[in-house]
Amino acid sequence: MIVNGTMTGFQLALFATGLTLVYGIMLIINFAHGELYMLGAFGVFFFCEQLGLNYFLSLILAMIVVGLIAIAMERIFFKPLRGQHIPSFVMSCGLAFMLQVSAVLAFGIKDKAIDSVFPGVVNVFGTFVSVERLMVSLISAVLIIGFYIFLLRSRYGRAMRAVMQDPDAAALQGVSINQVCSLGIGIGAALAAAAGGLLAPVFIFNPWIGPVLTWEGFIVVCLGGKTSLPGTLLAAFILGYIKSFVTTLVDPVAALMCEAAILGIILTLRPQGLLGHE
Amino acid sequence: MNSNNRTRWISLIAVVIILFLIPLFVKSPYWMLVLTLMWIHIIVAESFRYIVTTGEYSFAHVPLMGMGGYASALLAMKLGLSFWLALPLAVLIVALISIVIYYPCLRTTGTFFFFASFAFGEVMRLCWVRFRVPFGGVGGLRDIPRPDAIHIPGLPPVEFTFLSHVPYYYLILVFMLFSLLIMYLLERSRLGAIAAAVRESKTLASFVGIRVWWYEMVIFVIASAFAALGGSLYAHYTTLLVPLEFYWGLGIYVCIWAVVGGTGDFMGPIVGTIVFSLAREFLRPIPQLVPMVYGLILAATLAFLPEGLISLPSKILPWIEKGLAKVKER
Amino acid sequence: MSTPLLEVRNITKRFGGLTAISRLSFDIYLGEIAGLIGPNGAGKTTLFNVITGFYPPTEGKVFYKGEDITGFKPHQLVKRRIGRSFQLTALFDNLSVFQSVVMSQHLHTEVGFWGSLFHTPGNRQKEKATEAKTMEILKFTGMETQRDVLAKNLSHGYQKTLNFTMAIGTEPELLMLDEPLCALSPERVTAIQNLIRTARDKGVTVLVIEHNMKALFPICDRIMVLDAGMKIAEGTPKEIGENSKVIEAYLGGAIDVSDGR
Repeated sequence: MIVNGTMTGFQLALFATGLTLVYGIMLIINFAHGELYMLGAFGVFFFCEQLGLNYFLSLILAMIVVGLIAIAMERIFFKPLRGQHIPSFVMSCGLAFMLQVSAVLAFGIKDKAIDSVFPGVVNVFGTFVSVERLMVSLISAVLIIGFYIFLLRSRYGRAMRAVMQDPDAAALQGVSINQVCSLGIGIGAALAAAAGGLLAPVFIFNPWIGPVLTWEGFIVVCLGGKTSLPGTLLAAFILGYIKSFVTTLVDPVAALMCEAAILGIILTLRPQGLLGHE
Repeated sequence: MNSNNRTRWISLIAVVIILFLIPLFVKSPYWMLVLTLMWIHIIVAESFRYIVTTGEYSFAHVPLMGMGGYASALLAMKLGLSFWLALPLAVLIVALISIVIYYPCLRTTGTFFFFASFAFGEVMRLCWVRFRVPFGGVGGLRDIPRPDAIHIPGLPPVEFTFLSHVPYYYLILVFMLFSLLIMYLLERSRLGAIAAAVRESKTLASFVGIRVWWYEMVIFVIASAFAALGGSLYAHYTTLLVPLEFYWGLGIYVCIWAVVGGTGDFMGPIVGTIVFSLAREFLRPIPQLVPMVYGLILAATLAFLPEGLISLPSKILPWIEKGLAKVKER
Repeated sequence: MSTPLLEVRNITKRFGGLTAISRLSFDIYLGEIAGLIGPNGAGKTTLFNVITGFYPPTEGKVFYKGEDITGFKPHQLVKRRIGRSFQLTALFDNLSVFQSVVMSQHLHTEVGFWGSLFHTPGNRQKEKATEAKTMEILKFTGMETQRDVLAKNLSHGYQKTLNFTMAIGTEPELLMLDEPLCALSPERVTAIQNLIRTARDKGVTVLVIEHNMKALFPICDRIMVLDAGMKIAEGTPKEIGENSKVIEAYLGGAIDVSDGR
């Protein structure tokens, strides 16, 4: 259970970090994030299965492609809605619909799967875990760490953090808001796509896996504090553990109920999340 | 002003008469179904809009509609109550449930409110999935009893069987008109004025002495009551209730009907629901594209016509007048 | 002196690490016009917000007519006849001037819910009464010509006046005004000054925050000066004008209370 929870935590962390980034930089709510995840999975499917490329290469390509798609989305659809929560949310729902339909048109409605990249099972702290899932967690961790290094060290990372804290001040310092927004959503999307691509060999996927994930990602983001990246990490693991425990001890539906209840409680009692500030 | 009012009254009565005469011209059971469901959807969309008059968007609305359906169905199935009794009881029960659901949401506003209501509504919906007893789990409830026949002295009893498209049509039409009438009166009453003030500025409203949370709660409960009404009608019409039907997608559809129609005007959601219901019929051959088309229409509306379709006449009229004036000049 | 109408005792307000108000105490007496001045950021609006229930004080208490009203919500205060206007316009944007003022009569109108639902004749009468009263209020503040203009379409001067009108509409005994005079044309300023005086003559106690000292001093009986969240002086306008601490607190030289600056 604990191991499961940890792995789920990594998954969610990877996915939700992108979401927090988008919200923090542009103050828009992107409900199409799950679709980006889904496209990541399909992207890997496309590059790997249909073009026969190496898995890792496919993963990187998928991340890039989805990132670019996201940037295009941002430029066309989200730019005029920056800072407006409800219109951007509605717009992103529309986009989510459209992406789902595009995936259906491109790949059909049947479930898809990719062969495992890392076969075998390994014994971790007394539980049997597939090497695949272990690798997913490890790679997720690597990506997250890499992202944080980027955020903390690089010039662009600093620019992003500046915009998240105070867009006006950042603009005065010469930071191009548009660039940062594109970069933000591009990276966020790439992370989501990575999550999707990494889990493609583990779970079956179809064009409609997006919304459930967006929902969970959203809960993570709210729980952690909407603009707080460390909060997102913390919340991702908390939610991962809760989900894992409740699913095993009670049943999956109860887990979903718990998640929804957590969201409701957090929003009404402590809207700034665990680590956020308001 | 009075002649204007009179034209409105006349056109209104004309429309109602036409609605009552439709079954004489439309014989196809399929279209009867579409129209009847559309009346139910209008009830839900309009009551959704009623909440929007306070400035909040609630996503617990559709789950509460479902709850109305479940409550009514269960009262009929487990307690053997007749539809005519189950319906009002279900409405009452859901009104009480809505108090529980909305109470914590009162301290939130805007997006927070939206998602909090979403969350609690989802918890409720998952209860239907989780607890096979009494909600029937994923499969839901089947063979929900139909309304008992109505006995009007001197006429043959009005039966409600699965072939009774026309009786159902009238039944639901009457309920819809009733609901619309009440909601219309409410909006024109003092409550409506208070809702407008709250919508414009909660802060200022409280500074003129309005107990904001109390009035919001009243409006939410009333709206939920109507949603429950719609849900109950739905349950006893389709005799089948599945949790999946009330998923967030339906909530978004209701939102779309109301928003695209125009939430600023009472008639907005009605127009929106009708437009989309008809659009969906035309898109029958390509069901996968339905979400896409909906999405496009929504995006276009938000971008070009933010006040909704209902504002179209007031936008076009000046154009037409200008055009006519130009022609006159020549 | 008679018992104060409003007693503010040791109010402290902290936001995170920032102390906006620090151990502030003062009294307001029935029937006076009191002014509250201070440089930008001195905490004047914060003080109003604390008293009127926007947010509770970190420490301290507020008493109105002897009753502890610390932390009471705005609508509870309006019920107790404390009315307030806002510095930054808080208006019902899409309501007309008339509708807004009708709304401000919320606690005083006779129009009932059920009557308005079914439009009973009895209700019609009450509505007329409320409308008449609203027109009176509009005439009092000189806004009757704007009655059907939407609040968002008003000129800045009229918007401030509407704010003031709505505060009056709540029929307060204590009227708290947040910068009612700043950024107004001289005619408007004189008009509002006269309105404040007339209100006091009708028995309303007034507490005014204002930046425009030249406009404030002539109408106030007493002035309090705030700086960095603390009260640094209190007295008649003349005393304050000659107070060196106050002069220091503001940039520039002596504050000229009489005309001519």
